[in-house]
Amino acid sequence: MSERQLTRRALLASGLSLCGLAPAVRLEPLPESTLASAAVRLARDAAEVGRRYLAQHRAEADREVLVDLVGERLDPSAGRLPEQIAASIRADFRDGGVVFVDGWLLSHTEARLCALAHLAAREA
Amino acid sequence: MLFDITELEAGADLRAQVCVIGAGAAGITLAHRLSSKGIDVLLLESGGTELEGDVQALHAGEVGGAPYPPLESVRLRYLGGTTNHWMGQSSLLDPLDFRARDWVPDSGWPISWHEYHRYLDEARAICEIPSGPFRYETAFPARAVAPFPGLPGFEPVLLRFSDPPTRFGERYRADLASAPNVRCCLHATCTRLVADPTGQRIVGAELASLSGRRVRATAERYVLAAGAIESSRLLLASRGASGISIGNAHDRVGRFFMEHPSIDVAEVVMGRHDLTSYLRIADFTFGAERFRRDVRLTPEVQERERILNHSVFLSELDSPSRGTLGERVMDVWDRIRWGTWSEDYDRVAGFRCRIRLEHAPRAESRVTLSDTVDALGVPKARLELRFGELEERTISRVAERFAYALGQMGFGRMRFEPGATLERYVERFAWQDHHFGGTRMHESPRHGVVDANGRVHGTVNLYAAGASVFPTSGQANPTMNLVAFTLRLVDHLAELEK
Repeated sequence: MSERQLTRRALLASGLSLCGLAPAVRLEPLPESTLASAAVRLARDAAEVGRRYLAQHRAEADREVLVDLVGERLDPSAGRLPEQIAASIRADFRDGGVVFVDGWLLSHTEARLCALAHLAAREA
Repeated sequence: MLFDITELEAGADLRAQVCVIGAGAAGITLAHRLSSKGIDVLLLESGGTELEGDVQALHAGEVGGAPYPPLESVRLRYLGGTTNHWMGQSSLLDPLDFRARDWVPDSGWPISWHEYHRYLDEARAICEIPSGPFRYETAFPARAVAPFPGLPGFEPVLLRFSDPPTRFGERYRADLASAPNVRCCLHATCTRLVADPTGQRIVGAELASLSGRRVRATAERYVLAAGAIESSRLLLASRGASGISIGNAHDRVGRFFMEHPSIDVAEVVMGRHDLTSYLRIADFTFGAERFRRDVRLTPEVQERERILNHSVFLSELDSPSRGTLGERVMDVWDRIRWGTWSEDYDRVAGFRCRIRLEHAPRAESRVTLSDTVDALGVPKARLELRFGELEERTISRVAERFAYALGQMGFGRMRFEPGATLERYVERFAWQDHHFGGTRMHESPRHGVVDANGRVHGTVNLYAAGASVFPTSGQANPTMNLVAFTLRLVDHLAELEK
């Protein structure tokens, strides 16, 4: 794995943590405040979506694979990640990069980010 | 003048210039407007001024094909007809509806949208629908209502209301009673039209009541305005000397019957931010007026997708199931996007997504006669509703494109069954009680029952009015639009009477 890829992964992981997925990806301790329970819920919801996605896409049940797939469209060094994630999700819907999970039409980007959260939670 | 058939002697012959059969929106419009032009009108109503069970039972019939409610529950048989359960909802037919669309067999009208549009202001006045544009973008002052959120491929559809809905029987009863040249005969069910030996000229209408009174009406011209099922039924039950039903030389009577099926096709979760308010709040008021806003795929997209006309709207679920996958996804991204951290899922709401679609014209979707007869001895109607690949594709493509558009705009996520079969859809259809066709308009008697003026092919003095003449159903509610076409027929008949 190249240094650039490693940096990208680290940035992506830290970016996800900033997006509120920190508890899931275990990069930061939980804040000891009233926000904590909401953050936990957020991570739990994302992980649940990810669990159901991976049940249908077992070949992607690997953190490295998922980071590579998600990282194709996200570049944390280029700016705020929440906007990038939103843009990537919109592009997925525009370009047909979608997947049905339990009958819900989701973008590949969001499904895979949630899958990452699920894997991280499982490893915790 | 209003009177009851029992006031007449048995065998009486009522004479008029124009005999109108059916006193619903079309029939009352005809009587009202023809009389104002000095034409002597006999208006026949099968019921009285209130709902009566035994009269309503004359609407009973049989249903085949797609599951459909009992025929006596989807229409009303008393003065004012089915306007007595009208919801007042009104929208425009589209120019697209008038086109012969190569992907919709038997589509196309013999008259233009502009011809229809000429009569709209007067139709709106009769239906008591406030004036003002039907185009959402120009109907309100700038920034006064939620802007259309720019869903890719979709456009707004604005509905205006007759509010409270105009009950034609109540609203125009006094006018009918006071007009010097209108006689409205109640409890007079037309059981048969009588043609001369050539079958081309109607020479009388046989009338009967459940009380046993039988009389006759004789007029220079006759207009069927009894609704799509009853107008078809009466023609089919009226056989000429040849044994062929009047107007049915080419077996077109009763065919191309259409409804407006609607289907709850999906569950939607959406964020509650301002951009979604157009979609979240379909029904709204502005000033004192009531409106509804739907969306539909643009005519260009409909043509590209080769689908039927339709409209889409959302209604908020009272008690949505919590913790669904879509809700979790929207909640995650809405929190990240808007940076809010509450304990609840209160930033997202659950909706039902309903599609109402045009019913494609099909010869096999039709009204025929049953082997059983009603209390007056007239064969009952049998209705067979048929659907096909066009409806299936329309529902499927509209749902899919709506789900993509919601995601692309970041508004929400949708759960639906991709690639569901027609059978799956049809078993979940809900109905609007909108009845079209049966005496459809076409220049050729091989393809339609009435010509562009509403005259029944093969006859010289028999006409049809109402949604029964619509060659296609579009997605718009029929009442205001059928009144517009009726006004056009008034002009034609008045011209003939000059």
